[in-house]
Amino acid sequence: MPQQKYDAVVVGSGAGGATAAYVLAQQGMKVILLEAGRMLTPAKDFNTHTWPWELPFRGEGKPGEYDGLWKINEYTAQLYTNPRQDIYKSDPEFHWTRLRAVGGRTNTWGRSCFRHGPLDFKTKSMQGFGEDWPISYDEMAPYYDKAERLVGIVGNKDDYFNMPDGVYVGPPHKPRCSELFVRDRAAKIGVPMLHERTAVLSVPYDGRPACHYCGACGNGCDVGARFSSLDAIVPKLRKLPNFTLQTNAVAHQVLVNPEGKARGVSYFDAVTRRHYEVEGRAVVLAASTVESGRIMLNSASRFHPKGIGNSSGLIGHYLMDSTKSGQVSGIVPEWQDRPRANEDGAGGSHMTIPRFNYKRKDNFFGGYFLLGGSSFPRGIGGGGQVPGWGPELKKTIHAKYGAAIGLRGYGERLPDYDNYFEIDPNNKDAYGIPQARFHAGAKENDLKMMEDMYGWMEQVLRACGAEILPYKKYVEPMGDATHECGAARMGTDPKSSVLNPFCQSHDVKNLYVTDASCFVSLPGTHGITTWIMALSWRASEHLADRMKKGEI
Amino acid sequence: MSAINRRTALSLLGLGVVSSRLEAAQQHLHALQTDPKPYRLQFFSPPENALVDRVAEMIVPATEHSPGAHEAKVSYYIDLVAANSSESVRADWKSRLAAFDNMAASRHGKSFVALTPSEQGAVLTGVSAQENHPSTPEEHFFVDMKKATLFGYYTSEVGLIKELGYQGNQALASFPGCTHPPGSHQ
Repeated sequence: MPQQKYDAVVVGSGAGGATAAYVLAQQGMKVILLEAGRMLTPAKDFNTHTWPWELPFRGEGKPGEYDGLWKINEYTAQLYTNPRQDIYKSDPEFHWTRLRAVGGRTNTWGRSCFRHGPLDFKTKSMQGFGEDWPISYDEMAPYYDKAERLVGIVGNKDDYFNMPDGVYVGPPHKPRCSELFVRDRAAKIGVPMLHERTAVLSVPYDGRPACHYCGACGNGCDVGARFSSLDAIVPKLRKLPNFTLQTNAVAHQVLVNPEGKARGVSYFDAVTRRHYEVEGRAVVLAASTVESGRIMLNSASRFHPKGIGNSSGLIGHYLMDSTKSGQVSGIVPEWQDRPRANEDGAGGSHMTIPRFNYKRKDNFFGGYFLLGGSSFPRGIGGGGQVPGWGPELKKTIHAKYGAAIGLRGYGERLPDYDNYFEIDPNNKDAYGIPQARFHAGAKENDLKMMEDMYGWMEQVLRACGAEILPYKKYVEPMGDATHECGAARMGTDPKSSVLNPFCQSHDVKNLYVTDASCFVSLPGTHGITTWIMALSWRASEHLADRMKKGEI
Repeated sequence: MSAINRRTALSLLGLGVVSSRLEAAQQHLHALQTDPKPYRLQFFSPPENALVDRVAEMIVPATEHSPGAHEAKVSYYIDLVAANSSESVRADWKSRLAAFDNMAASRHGKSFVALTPSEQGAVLTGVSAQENHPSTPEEHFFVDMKKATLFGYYTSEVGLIKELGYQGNQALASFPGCTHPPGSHQ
């Protein structure tokens, strides 16, 4: 086990942690990256090309096994942490998605990479609600460039309001017939549709192949055509002599020296359950918003009685996640029995409805994307209830297959002190580490936005001439969008924020948090991964600079 | 773990994906192909399975277009699901199936599978009339059977590929998108 001292101990190998390790190691720093999970071998660990009939329960798992869970199914159960086995409490219900493995949740993420624009950094002063970030879009733009070059984004130069174009390494994936139909019909009621800006390659890039369009990105990509830190960053790091990857290292606490500064991290070996310490001049937490906050809150000492970096008492608070609606589906009569084609594409939609209410006066704050789906799927879900039995039933299902459009809203979430997690002293995980518990849910603004989402989803479907299938209006539990963020927010005032504008702890100068914890707002623009990476890049440069100057 | 078929594997190699990434998947495929164990019933008795098989085939029958639930071996899928269900669901399967068969016997004097196709059709039409609001065990049996049959059939190779015409889960060199003239989909 590592006895030597490192320049930086980075916790977490997902988007934020791998980026931090990459930037620090490139600058010559001696880096150890702690990952709680195992190394993955894509061709073995991902069920990318598995057919439903190759799994005993056709992808659903044993009856009841995954009921009420999200994301976890027979294709992915080997990747995710199952909340039935690693229990946490939440009231109201919170969906905490955990994937402990090298690459973290970048192995199965949604891949959407829209940049956040000037308005999103200055929410309060430019839009009249929420809080301003202490940094501007112009300060972040060069770091978006760097992150996007590392990720490999494909897209179209759209020049769309408040969603600056990024660095695209290839053309967008070509739209399906059904998407062009929705685009043209939606345009008639003033609803725009843009090419998806996605981290799925349309051309070979950086040693990774272009997408082969099997459509199964959500199960993990066997060839690395979509960005994951496992495929795109960790291999680069492992070639460097000043980099060490420690897998199965479950971070427990940030250790402090006699001056109250961070001196390293303690962790449990996930296999042996033995406890270790690793020392570094600086500690960078990027274990995901909840895990990083949990580590800090669990790191109470006489210097930091409320947890390290928590003199403000705000760690855990202002937790956000995209406001996610349920789905509305419709059957387009003229699509019935349409000619079959392979419409799998690059896993998910190739076109998307961006925020379009910028110039409207609404009864809620913020905006949202509407994400669509229309293709020939691997099953008949969403085909609607067809009565009866026999040849007519079979014929009707055949006709409706591929004739459905589904829409779902992903929107802004306002920062709210009362949406928070804390340490649950009565619930410890398998290593004896106190677990997080959640108190976060939909508030008035979310419910008003939800009404607006459903109204526009219906309008778009009606513009397509679709017969809308019965649905229930609801907002998914927080966490369901897997965009949780903001629980150690950045700011200039140590009383009202946890981190400074460089993701550096106000209290402990050699402690940085470079995942989505620092978020001040969570706008309706879809995708946060490259945002995390841009912020992590900037923070890591700051840390390297301070270490070189001997300040840390 | 990824069960990749030979065609997809060869396509991926053609697209420049390094072969080492595919070896593990190929090995898994080989394991699957050399282990074609015939399914053994775990829950239903052979007569019960015959009834499940017949009702499934009536719900999704073979047509000119494609085979039905029988050829897709849907009854084996239902047996596996039922065998792995909770105790109360298992009890429901047994009792509802028995009630369904008893109803057939009380009306026609024979077990359901021994009835003529038109008699079987009359029984099924009767129990399916209330499919949105089932109350009797026989009506519940129809609803349970329909749900399991549709899922099992359309996630089978027969149902998904032969019947629905799904063409995906392949390795393509490029994605053509819409190839119709501009404005075709307005």
